[in-house]
Amino acid sequence: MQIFAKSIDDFKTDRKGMSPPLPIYLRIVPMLFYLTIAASILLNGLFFMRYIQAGKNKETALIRDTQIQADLDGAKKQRKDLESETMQASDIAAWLNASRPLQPLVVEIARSIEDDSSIIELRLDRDADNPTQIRFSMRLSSDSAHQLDVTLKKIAALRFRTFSPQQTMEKGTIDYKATLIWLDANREQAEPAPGS
Amino acid sequence: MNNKHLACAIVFIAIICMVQASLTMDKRTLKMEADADKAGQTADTSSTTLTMERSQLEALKQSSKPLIDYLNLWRPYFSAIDSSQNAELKILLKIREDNLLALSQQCDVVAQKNNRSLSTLMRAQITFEDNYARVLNWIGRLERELPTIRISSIRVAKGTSANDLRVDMTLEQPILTAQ
Repeated sequence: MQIFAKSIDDFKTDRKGMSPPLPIYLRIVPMLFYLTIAASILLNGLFFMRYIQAGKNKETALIRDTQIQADLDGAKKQRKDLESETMQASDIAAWLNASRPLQPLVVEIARSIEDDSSIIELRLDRDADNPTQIRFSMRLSSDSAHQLDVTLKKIAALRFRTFSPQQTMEKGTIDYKATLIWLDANREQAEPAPGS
Repeated sequence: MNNKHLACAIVFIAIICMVQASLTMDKRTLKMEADADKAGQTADTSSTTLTMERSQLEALKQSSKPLIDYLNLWRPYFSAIDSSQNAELKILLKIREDNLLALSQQCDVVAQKNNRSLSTLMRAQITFEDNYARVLNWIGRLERELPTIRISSIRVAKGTSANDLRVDMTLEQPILTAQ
């Protein structure tokens, strides 16, 4: 069958308002679009995985930190309790160190008195600010200082040292005052007596 | 500007949006990674602090052991006297047990400033007159049987009869403050 060119031209009618083709450099835009879609999917996938991993790491670190903080609080509380207990122990040791029995001292002083002498008055007062120091005062009825020497030797034998002694002697009466400090060479601590 | 140019511009805007979205995602990822690193560093710092705290605690335990042992040795004696009434009763009972002639007795509760654990004291001022040996033995027994008591002051003088002693004593009994 023979088709005439004129007839074909009749099929392809002229289109009105047809735009001119785009310049060649703008043809890159669709390619760039598809490339961007592919890159976006790839990169965002990677970013998302990194984001999830970082989130997990952060959560793990926060949980670890919380656990450590709880342990730290426990250790701090334990230390505080121990410090408090140590302070209490120090206070008790200080009290006991300043509460050494006075009876042996009184007995020893009383026993040191010889026949020709007598104690008119004996006073032992612990110092209010420093109770380890004892203010000692004694009024003796004696004609000589010999009795005082004997008594002081007995006191020294109990490991008490006298400080700031003051002595007056008048008409058969000797007044003696001093501060006694217990010499604790080994710094041994007091212990409760058996059966107390 | 024809339709093709417009379509091109729209596609170009879509490309910019996708790039921008990717950049935003990258920024968020970097921020999350930085946060994770920061949290890890904080945890590491806390871990170091915990190690130091534990070593300090261990050192303190070692150094305070003798004192704590000492406290444990004495605690029952201090805990036995938990109130001023109890302390007063114990002292008065000691006087009655030995049937000493007490001329006067007065008990007060006082505060002690320089000892925080033993901040309360029961102070008893007692005057009695009795046989020389009985009085001195009683004082010895008192100090042995109430080992936490302190004779803060004692004045000994002659009594009315030859073998008697007149004793003015101030006793202090600490009352352990509950910690």
